[in-house]
Amino acid sequence: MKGTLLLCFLGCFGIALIAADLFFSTGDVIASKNKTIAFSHELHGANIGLDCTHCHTGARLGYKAHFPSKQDCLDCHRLPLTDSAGIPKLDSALQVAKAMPWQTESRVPAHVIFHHGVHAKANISCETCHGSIAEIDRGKRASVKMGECLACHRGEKGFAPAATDCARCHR
Amino acid sequence: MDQSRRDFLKVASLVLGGLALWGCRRNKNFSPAPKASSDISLWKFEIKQAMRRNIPLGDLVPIKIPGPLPKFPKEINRFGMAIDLDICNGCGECILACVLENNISRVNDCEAQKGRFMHWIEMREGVPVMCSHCGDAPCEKVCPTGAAVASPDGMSAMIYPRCIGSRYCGANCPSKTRKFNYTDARAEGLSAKFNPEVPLRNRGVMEKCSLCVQRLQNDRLLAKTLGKEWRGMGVQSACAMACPKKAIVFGNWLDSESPLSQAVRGRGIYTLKSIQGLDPSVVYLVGRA
Repeated sequence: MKGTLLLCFLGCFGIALIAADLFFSTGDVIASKNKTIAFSHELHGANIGLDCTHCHTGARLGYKAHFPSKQDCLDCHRLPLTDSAGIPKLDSALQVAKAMPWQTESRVPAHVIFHHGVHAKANISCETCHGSIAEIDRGKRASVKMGECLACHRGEKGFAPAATDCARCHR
Repeated sequence: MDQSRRDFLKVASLVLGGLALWGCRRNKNFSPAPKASSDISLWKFEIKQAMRRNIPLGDLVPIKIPGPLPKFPKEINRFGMAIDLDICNGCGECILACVLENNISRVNDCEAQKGRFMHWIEMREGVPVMCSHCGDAPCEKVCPTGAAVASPDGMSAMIYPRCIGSRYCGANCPSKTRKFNYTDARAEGLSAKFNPEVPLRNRGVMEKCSLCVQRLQNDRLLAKTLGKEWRGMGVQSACAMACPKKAIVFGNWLDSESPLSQAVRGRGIYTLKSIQGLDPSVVYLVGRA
């Protein structure tokens, strides 16, 4: 009896230790899905035909593709755009939304550089890495392994071959 | 309470096993790391400490002007530096600039007593010495994992996540400018991220002057995005920018218009005697040729 109790105690302790390790460990990569407004890429992209770079500025020329601020949403949504029944709900959501509704941290590790502009220049569409609009709406985030980068850079995926030297992408 | 010998031994061995596991745990969460300080005066103090060491420079020998790399004959860029020893007074400002640009960590007292600092630039008899980015680099030849690798832009690059810390490269480097992370600087609170562009290095990883590769990469990507030919014009390393006497010149050896090619025109080009046959990209200028 005594032994079983001790064993239970040790087991709990071990689980607590592992949990503490998981909880306190911090890496370079943090994935957070902290949405305050349910946003439909399908509605904005496929239906209205907005380009990704319209809201994700920087994707065409810059290093990073940025997330829109509340003001960017309000540029179009200041006045009701349709007679849809969801408009009051959207308006109230926009009123309580933070100035920066989306806070994401890049998944690219600190020793890797990925320049969106250079890839856009090479005519590589956003979907190649980020998946289709439906997939993005389901919560998919781009997750590319080095092997996949290299396969494309070697010209195995239908695009022109690009640099495969280590120091081109690593620092 | 009756307990057989068998039960007692069972429980006792389990307890002992549990305690042994507890003893082997990673204790990073239970002995909190000292608070990391980003107070620059700590680094300044360490640089002064490092500059008090007496490291012999060795002889300087004249070499020919660096040309295209035999490994990459088609490349139009080969980056390098020239340090004008007629102007340099060994003030050490370049070391601080390098530290802040590349997030170089401090070392603990034990390492400092041995004189093993992480600074990528070292003052040897008042002459700044850093990795020479040899065209025929001996460090790259002995790396078992390919972490030390030649870049087509003329740098001898270092891919930190590949490094397993064999230290062969450091042993094979004639100029002894490679630095090994003996201590876990992050755990001891000795590192700070001054520059978000450069990753912090882990314990057990070799590091050295990267020729400010992040600045070159950023410039190259911008030029490629805009569809321009990239010759690295306008890029400067942190040490060259910080030098109060402008004794360090950064540039492209293969571009006749680069500030580097202009600066070495008619000057005597020298290097350390230990690496004279290895086609270094970082050279010293002394007197007229």
